[in-house]
Amino acid sequence: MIYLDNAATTRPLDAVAAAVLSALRQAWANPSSAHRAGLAARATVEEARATVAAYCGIEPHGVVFTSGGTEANHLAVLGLPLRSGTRRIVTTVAEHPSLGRAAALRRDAEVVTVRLLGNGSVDLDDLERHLDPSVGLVALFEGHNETGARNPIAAIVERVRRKAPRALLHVDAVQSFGKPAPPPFSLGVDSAAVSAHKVHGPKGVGALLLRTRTLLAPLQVGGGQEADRRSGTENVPGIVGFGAAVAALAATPAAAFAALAARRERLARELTARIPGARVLAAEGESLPHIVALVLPGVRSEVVLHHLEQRGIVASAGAACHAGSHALSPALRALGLADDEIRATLRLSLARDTSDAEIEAVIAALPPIVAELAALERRA
Amino acid sequence: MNVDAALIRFGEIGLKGNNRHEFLARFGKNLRIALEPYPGATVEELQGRFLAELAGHGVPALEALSRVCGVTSVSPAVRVAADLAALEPVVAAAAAEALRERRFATFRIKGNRADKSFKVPSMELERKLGAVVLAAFPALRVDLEHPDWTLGVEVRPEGAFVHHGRIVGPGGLPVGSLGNALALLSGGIDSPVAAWLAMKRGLRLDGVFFHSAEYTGFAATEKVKELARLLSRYAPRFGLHLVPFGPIQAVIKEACDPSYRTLLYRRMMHRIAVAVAARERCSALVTGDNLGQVASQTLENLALTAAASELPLLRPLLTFDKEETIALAKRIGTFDVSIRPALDCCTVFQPAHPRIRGDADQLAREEELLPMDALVEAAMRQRELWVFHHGRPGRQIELPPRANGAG
Repeated sequence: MIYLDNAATTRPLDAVAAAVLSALRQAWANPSSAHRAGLAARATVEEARATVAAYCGIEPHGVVFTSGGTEANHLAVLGLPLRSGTRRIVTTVAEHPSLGRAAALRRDAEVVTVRLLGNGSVDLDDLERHLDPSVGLVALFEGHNETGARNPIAAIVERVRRKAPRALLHVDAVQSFGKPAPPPFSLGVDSAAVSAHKVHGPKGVGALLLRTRTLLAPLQVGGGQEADRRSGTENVPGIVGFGAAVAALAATPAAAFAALAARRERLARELTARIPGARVLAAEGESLPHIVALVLPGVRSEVVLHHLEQRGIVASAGAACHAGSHALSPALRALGLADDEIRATLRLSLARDTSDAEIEAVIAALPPIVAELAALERRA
Repeated sequence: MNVDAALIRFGEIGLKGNNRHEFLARFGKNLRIALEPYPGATVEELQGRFLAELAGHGVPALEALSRVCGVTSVSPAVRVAADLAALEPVVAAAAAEALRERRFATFRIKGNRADKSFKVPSMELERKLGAVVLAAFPALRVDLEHPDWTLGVEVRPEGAFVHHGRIVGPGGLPVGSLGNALALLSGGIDSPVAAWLAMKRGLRLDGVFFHSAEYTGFAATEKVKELARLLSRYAPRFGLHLVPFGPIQAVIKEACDPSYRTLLYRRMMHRIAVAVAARERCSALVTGDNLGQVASQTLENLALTAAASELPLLRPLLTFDKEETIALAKRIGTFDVSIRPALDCCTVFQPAHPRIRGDADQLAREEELLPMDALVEAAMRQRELWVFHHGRPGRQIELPPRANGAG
């Protein structure tokens, strides 16, 4: 199988699987227990926390382990305090639902959404129009899961600090984490949501990362774990696996990320050259090094997907071809895509373990499939 | 109550006159096959019934027996030493348990003494055990004609079996007693029910599913495999033939009038099914067709589809209302799988306006545009066979190369 669905999830590293198994076998005690077995489990959790914190350049206290990216986004947009006098949350029209839908649940704030540019990044002028001292939280994606577009974080931070000085800035870094860098805390971002399984770690674990000792209202209360910010017995094997995945990320040479970006570039370039009318979304801006979102004219990407699978290549579609227009991606619509174009959007997503040979296989396989299906679609 | 054994009743098999012996042999064999996953469990024919000893496997083995076609009901039984002193407390306990489950006023004990070395004759056994129940529950009365509750006692050389309560079986005839047929499965609600009804009438069934995985993905195929697995609980074996249909749909879409597409697809399916049936020695096709349910099921279109099949078409659901089919689907356990979302025909191939009443002459002209034999042959060459037993996941069977040539 040629796996080009790494934006959905990644294959766990062998080192991660070994770390998870070892935690299940050795560190199975409750980290809150006072006996030696409990202390040993606690030590493995804290070691993972230190690994994640060191990679991200924050204090270990700033790592709040969660059940994944969704919970981390919830914890940020529902748990970060709005400073007195602020009552608005600014986000974009195209957030992952774990952020966008969660923000709408907040009772003490009004949510306003900012437009995107045609290249898939936030419209900075529109953002600036929505920023004022009443804004308490700005929450938006760092890199987009459907389009691969990357937001200009430095420019966003500058506008937020200038126009909304009391606002915190949260980024959804689930897709961008470790591709190639940690979340942009050095630029002044206050918090970031990350997920282990997008970086070759296990599912069911992620973190909300905090730059400073920000107060955080817990969404679930109980035994007071994670410094009373996220109760519930720690997912020790998951956290240990996450630590192993981040350690591997930190040890990956810059050349490997350059190679990943080069493969993405080649894939995008060759496919648009060989498929008449095809275009890459978010092509004009900064983009993530692992996602190519293609609009393939005259076909339904779900059918393309199944044809690819017959040839051992798996990827992801912008929408199911029977999806009603109400079910089509708001993010793709935000880029100005028509319904047919949304149904024609194919997402190929790479990872560090994607090889040149796999890229070449896709470059060879996809154009004839699109030609065949476009001909079939042209019939009534 | 611990379940040590099962008393198995059958209905119509007993009515088959000269064939009775053959039917019973088939039925006994099917019961034994149903018990294969339960090592040590055995089945024995009694006078007009079967007795299974479950060798400690209890309820799962009992349920497996209750799904064998031909079974009208199965009663769980406890094995007791064949003497009155041992039987009395067990009978009293069974009555107490039955009373906890539901209130009743009248009862009878039904004794059957197959072991004539047992000193107490049946009638006396019934009286003595009845007295035990009356002593424990003085409010109860004996009613030999229409008792609310019946407790059976089967005295055999290897011990006595006390049984009450019934699990209703499918009834019908033993699978295999009336020959082989091939069912067209779609993954919807109807076709698995039609297949089950055909099995229940004694047919040994294979199923065929036409997939277009390269257009709709593997979800529909996985769903039909799951349906085949569920159907295999009612028969000694269920074979599922997977035939790629996407390339044929592409050819039809390319060559033919869009409004005739659905009819053409269905007629092609029937032709391929006939070819599969010939390979598998099946002498009829079974479909889930139902009068008037969808556009392809008008009387005219059903006739046009049937005309493409050289084999008799059995349509057990032809006159069912949807609610009746759904009730059966729920009973046989296929409903929850059938309603899982999975496209079995890609929207690429669906015509905007399918013909409600096809015209035979135009249909013939459309088919002249198609390389019919080559399409059937190509589909047969790529056929896969999966075999399911005992409700377990299926195994793919290698087909010998010549088994997939057409005709």
